[in-house]
Amino acid sequence: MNTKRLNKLLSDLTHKDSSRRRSAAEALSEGDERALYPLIKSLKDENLGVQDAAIQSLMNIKQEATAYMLLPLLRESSFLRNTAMLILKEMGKIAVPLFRTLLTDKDDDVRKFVLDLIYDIQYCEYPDELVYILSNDSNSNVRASSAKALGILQFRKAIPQLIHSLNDEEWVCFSALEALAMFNDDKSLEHIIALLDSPSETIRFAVIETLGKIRSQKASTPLIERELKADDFERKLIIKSLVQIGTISSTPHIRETLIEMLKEDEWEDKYTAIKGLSNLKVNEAISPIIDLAGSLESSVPENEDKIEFIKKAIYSIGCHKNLTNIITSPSMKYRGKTIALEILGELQCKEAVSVIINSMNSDYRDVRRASIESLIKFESDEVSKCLMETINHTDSHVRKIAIMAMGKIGAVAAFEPLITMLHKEGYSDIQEDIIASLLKINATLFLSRIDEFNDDTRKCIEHHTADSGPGVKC
Amino acid sequence: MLNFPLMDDTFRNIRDYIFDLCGIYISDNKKYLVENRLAKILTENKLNSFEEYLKFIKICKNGNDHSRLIDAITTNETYFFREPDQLNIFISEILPKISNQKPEHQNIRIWSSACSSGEEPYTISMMLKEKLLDLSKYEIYASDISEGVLSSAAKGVYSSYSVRNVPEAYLKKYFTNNGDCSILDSSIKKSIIFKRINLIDSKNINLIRGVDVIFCRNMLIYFNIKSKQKVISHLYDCLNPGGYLFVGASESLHNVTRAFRPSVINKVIIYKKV
Repeated sequence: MNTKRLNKLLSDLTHKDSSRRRSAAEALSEGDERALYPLIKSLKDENLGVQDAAIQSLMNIKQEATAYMLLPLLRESSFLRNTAMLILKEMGKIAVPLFRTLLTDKDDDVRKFVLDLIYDIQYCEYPDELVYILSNDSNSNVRASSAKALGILQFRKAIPQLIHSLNDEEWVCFSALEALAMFNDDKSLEHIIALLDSPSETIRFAVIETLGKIRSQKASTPLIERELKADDFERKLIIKSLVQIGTISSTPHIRETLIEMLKEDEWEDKYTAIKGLSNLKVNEAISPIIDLAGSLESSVPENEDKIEFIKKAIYSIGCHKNLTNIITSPSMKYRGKTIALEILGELQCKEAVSVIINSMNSDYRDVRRASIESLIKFESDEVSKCLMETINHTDSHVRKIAIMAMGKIGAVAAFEPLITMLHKEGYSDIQEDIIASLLKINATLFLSRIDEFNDDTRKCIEHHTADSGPGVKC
Repeated sequence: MLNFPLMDDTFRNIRDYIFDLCGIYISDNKKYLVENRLAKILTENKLNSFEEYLKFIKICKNGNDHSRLIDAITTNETYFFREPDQLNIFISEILPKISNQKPEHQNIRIWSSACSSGEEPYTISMMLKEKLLDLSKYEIYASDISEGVLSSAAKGVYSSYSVRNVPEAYLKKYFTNNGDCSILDSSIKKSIIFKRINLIDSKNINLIRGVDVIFCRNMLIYFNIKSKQKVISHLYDCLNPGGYLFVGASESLHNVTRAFRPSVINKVIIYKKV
């Protein structure tokens, strides 16, 4: 940045108008070291917009000098310290060498903060020093942060020390468990399992969760034995871990617990429950699982993954009358019904055909559409007959899908009805589908009768038959 | 159906193209979604592979094809009176505050920044009218990146799905039922100024300035953190000092920006430019 422009921006950074200060702070993100100190000062600006712009700019100036100048803020008020940590985290590896001297800082908080930053950045060139801290630091918060950092760094030489830390204070023990779960190392298993008999309830709960994360079959028997002595809450945790490990037996109370778990707020719990229920093929879980999928707002992108997960789970449970009953259930939401219809089609559940046919007259358009989409997956005379009748359906969306299906299966019997329809169909996109289907059923016969149609329709047919490149529309 | 699968490299190229175009980031696990949703466009355009489509969309500078692509990868699913708690707080709490601060001669400017097919700005307009407020004192802007949805919004014709949350009284007063669809009253349609705006584009964003309230609901969910920061920074610049920003009830500006001061009114989070 040239000096003239830099000086102008630095001057604007102290302007009385906050929008000028914000613009200057934004513009100073170009990486000039001379802007660092003024930007750090702007972190204390009275205007939040200016503060935010200064944060973003400092994050962009990824130089060692930036990290160096931010370190003193770790000793400031919580707002400035958190801001500095946010920026240092964003700077990544470049900042880590500067943390080394702070590991022996007199201030417990500073030592803890730099270890937390190493955990966030997931990089460190001096992990042995972290092992030393885990064994020797006087502050338990610092030891706990060190344990977590060693876990995320996957520094295997630290495993014996982490195992030793299982006997440290509770808080350190939690972090050591978290770290050991990240290693997935059988060597630590027996030491972790031994803590299943810990008199501390919180330690036991953490151990159960850790065993679920490690997913070793060796943990199954001790967990099942522990379940016999567990209260409701602990039993639920054990069942979750057993599902994660993949060894769970189908007892009535396990099925009930898993179904109950579907109501938990956390999606991690719901996923575990769905996975367990589908592994055990619990038919009575079909309805609550579909209901859960139906309650999801489908416009939220992350919900698509959840709905897909649920569909796969139901596929693995398979075709069952509980799935068919959903279509006629008055209490099931329409979204749930559409999902059930889709699955019935994919599974080609023959016993569901008549129910699906009936649901083509549902009050809900989405259900009507899903019904016909489902039906076209079946190959039977009953379905073909039904699809034939549906090409005249009053709902244009239903009609459209039926017409496309006729073309897809090459239904000769639909030829004349489609010709008749083409004369009177009002929607142009459906006209196109009729033409496409007629061409698929019998192109020669259809084209031989082209004179029966008006000019617009003939042009549309010509467009369809000519290979005239992308974007052709009637 | 297509005979060609979406190869990983092509997926990444399409994903990057979409990101550059509109800031929407598609993660690796959404490959199947892109494959499913773009298949129809390939068929319509008589293209034989996703590689062909990528060339087609890059060469073709036609806004409609870009819109079609964006329409396909976003859901555009919305409805009237979505997240009504926020709307009620806007009418009962926020609007009076702004009115008190504004000089008499200045209009209040409201912007529905990702309006899709128009349900949100029309809902706002109807609510203002129901409060017996003089609509001429309000400028309601509505924007979207997609020409397609904007033209649909301007028509004001809605399916039963879109109007499912509309209170009966509003339905009777502001809509005409026409079999499968509901047609919005022209007085409401006229109250909205539609503009095509790409929120990620800093030049584009200059089209609207001096806004008092921005609604940007259920849109940030499509963006990665960098794009979110860019969009929110743009919206910040569009707001008047003391202006308000509404994001979706399931969205948050936590980790995105500290520029706004969040406040909670009746469990609704509102962000204020201070």
